[in-house]
Amino acid sequence: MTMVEQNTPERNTSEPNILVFLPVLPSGELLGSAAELLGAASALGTPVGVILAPAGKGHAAAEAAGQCGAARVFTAEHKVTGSLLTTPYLEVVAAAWEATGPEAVLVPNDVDGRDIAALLSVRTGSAIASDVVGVHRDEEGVVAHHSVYGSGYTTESAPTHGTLIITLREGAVDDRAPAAEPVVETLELNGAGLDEPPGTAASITEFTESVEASTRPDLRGAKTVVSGGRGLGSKEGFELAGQLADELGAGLGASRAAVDAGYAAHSLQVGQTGVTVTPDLYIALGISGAVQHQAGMQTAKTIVAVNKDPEAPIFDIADFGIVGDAFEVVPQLIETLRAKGQ
Amino acid sequence: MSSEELTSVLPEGRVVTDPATMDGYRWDRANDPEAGTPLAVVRAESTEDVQATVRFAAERGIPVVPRGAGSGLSGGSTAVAGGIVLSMERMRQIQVDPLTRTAVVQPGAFNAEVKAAAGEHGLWYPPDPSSFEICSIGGNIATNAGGLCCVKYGVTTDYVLGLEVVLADGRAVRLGGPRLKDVAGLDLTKLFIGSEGTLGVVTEITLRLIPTQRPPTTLVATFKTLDDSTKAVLAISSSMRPSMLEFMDNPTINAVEDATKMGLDRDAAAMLVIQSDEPAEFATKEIELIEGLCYQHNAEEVFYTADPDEGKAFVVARRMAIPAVEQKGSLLLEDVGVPLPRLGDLVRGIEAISQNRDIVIALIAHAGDGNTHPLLVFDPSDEDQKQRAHTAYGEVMDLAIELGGTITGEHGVGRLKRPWLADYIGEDALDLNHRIKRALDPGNILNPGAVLDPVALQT
Amino acid sequence: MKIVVLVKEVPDSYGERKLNLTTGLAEREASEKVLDEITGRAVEVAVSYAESAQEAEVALLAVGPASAEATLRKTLAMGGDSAHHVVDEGLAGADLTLTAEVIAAALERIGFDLVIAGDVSSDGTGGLIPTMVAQRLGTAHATSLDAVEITDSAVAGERAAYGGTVRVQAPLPAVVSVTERLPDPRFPGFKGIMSAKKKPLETYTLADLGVEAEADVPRSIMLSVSETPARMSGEKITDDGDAGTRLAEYLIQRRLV
Repeated sequence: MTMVEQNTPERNTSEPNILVFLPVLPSGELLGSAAELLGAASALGTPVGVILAPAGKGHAAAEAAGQCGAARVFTAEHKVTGSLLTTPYLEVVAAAWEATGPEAVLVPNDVDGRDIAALLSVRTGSAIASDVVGVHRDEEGVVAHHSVYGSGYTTESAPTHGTLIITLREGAVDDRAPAAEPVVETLELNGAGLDEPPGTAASITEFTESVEASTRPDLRGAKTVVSGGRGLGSKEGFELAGQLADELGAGLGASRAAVDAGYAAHSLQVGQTGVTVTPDLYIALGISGAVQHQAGMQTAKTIVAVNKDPEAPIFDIADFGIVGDAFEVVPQLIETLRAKGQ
Repeated sequence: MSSEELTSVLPEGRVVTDPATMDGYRWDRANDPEAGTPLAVVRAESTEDVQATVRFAAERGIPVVPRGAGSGLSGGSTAVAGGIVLSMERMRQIQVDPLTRTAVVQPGAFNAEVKAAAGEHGLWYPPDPSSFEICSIGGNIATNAGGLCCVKYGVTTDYVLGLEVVLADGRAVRLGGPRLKDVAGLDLTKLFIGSEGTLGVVTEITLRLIPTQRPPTTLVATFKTLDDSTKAVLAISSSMRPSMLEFMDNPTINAVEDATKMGLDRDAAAMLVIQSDEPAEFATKEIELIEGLCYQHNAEEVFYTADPDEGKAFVVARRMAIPAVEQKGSLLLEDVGVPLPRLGDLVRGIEAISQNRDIVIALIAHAGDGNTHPLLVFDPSDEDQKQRAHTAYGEVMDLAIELGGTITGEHGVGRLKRPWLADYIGEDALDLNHRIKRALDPGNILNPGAVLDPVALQT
Repeated sequence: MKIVVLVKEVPDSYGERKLNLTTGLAEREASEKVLDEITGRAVEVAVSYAESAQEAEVALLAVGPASAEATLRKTLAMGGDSAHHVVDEGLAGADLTLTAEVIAAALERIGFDLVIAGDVSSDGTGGLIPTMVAQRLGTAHATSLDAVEITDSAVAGERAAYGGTVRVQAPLPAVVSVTERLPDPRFPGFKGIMSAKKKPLETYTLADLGVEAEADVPRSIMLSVSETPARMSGEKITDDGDAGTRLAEYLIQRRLV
């Protein structure tokens, strides 16, 4: 790896660098989690973004990172198909690590983020904090917050020494960093083979871009989530949840029972096995609210539940519960909101 | 008549009239498409609530459908249009008296809750319908529910010592009590057990408890032919007292294997799951004797274990049977029973009906009781198949009657099996049923349409 | 082909799970211990491959307290050929770094062509161990696979990527992890249970594996633990025909829409 452009600015060297891996979509856009990753980093030190973008999209992505508060950005460009799995990501993060000597590295707690964190931790011999829901600094350094057993417990962890690698749960951090004019440094990847010896890494043989039919916000980061359960009765009935989600500009979720019954795609599943969400408003339609489901949503700020069964456990944690038929309540809700111009 | 009047005779919060909530009280597990929309649902909290509701209904001739947890399989608590659903779900107190080994329970308590309360005192309430975690004791009394351990421990009625019942005129009577022996007057307690809410509403039950069951030793045996398996059942039940003796046929085995991939023999014609709960050394002896009897009847493979956890895993095959068969289509669930020596004839006859009507019938049975659950599988979108399934459903009951058996062993007649009742019990017994019903409920307000034909009742 | 499945025993997430508020460790007595659901799917991948393959052997590896042996036996009943159990007092409260080191050392001892794990455990929710182990062993990793194909010399599958899905292929030896999209595991049947009793189960201590729990390397340590206050229920109404309107008012009043 070589650095083709380097422009080291005047910096406040007393503030530690916090590396943040920022995923980029094939369109060149930053993933929605960028703002909270950089927000969390800004609470610990100077946020330094690391970006691996499709060819020709690096610079724009770096600027977008600046908008979210990155003071400095390392970018490289590559093509996903034909490259090794994780390795290119790791190489850019490692190069940025070398250049900045970070006190912490933040990656999103997703499929690629976890792999980056795992490889980096072993390669650098660093401690790792997983599925983190918040961070702060105390006199000894970086402290990570965790929400354990479906948010039954809150714990804090820290490294004994050295850099802490953190996988950050999406949607958990509210901190946002002010926009910055980032110093951009471009890295060059030496092709796809990189430094790995042959036979010790998986390769990506094909990339299929997902065609999102809906314009709904991503479930994990959405401020409002509408979820449907088995109580909606059928795949057709489940569309009621979709209608309300679209009306509110909300993300769409589902209970495991609804997914198992084939009403909704697996990727929508909220709960212990599935996505954990922390929205401002969570509306559960026809969801009984088994412990497993609650584990994925009970940190929502406000919970609304509509269920025919007055004994449904979801009512135990709902701020506003309606014993009734979602097919009666939701259309009336939509109508009223429209009438009031909301 | 309006529901406001009903609300005025009951404490606040008992009466529900909004359609969405009432919807949850219209069906039991029979999912009767003909279920009516009730005038109101009353969620009683005391005997007085039940009395006020029944009195109110009696004065106005309004039907009352008593309801436990809604887990019934015969439509016994299907709502009647314009009637009152009287739900016992909030009456669920349980008091155990370890001294007399009895429990006084309210009808809404779940069977599993009664078991747990008894367990705290080292005691056991044996009847164990498969739905024990979701069915109420009141419903168990109404249907005289059975289960898996009945082969050794008997059915619900064998554990009922006393009842408090609200009669059709609103009076509450106490029958029996915490006494093992009691022959004063007619045995009216028994009269109400299994009466499916047609004679009165049970508001309190005194149950007999026995010491906690010992951990069982569990055996599984497979057979190449149905004949071998039913002969083995007869040989075992005529010489041993296993605490469980369950049967599954080939379609059931295959459905379970599809669902669990647990390595069952897909070619086996039948499988038996048997438990002994004798003290350890005797259990092993009993199970070894049973193993011998299985082999004498050409069992293909026999396994047993004294480890309770492993035993549970053995029984999974039987426990999964209904959910596994349910994955194959819609079900019509039978509950026919025959005297044990006719079990082989019943099993073969059902196989013949299955072939004649070209309908998959998966057969599971509490074999030691001669009580079988043929599960008729059909595709609800195939009208012709659905029709054939309903024909076969009747034919299975006709067959049971022919073999000197019953149309229902533990689920009750409800509304689903009412057309076959007369054929089974005969004219004279039916007349007796009618006379008793008319004597106790002259206005036919208690669960009208369940068990007895309302038109026949009037003539 | 030797496949090793990483088996995790977890507190049953359908029941109550507790942390000790002093030590921060799981209260082992508080909940029933079960095979992690996702581990079941990993076992299923291995066992169903072994059924169809010419020569394949499935070994199971668990790192955990003595109770994990029962879970290993149950897993053997699903069709594993042998089990390996690392059990040592020094493992209490082990962080990811130590856990990965132990698993990697055990795998080196057992030998493997392919390691299969669940992607994310239901108690730790880390999802890091498989890749950490691969890196320590110097083999390829292919984690969070939604579909898996195994051949004599490679493993391939699909997984999520930013803005799409990728198809990945790794030469063996490799470490993979699987998601919930993989088929349900089989139930242990009575034949499996009976034969599991006779299958080998070996135990190892940290010393056996040459791992030092006290080694002075960076570790993650727990600083504090507290119980999250239980969520209270708020207003609950029964729909009398105007619940939709009342909900709209509730949301507007609180500026939630």
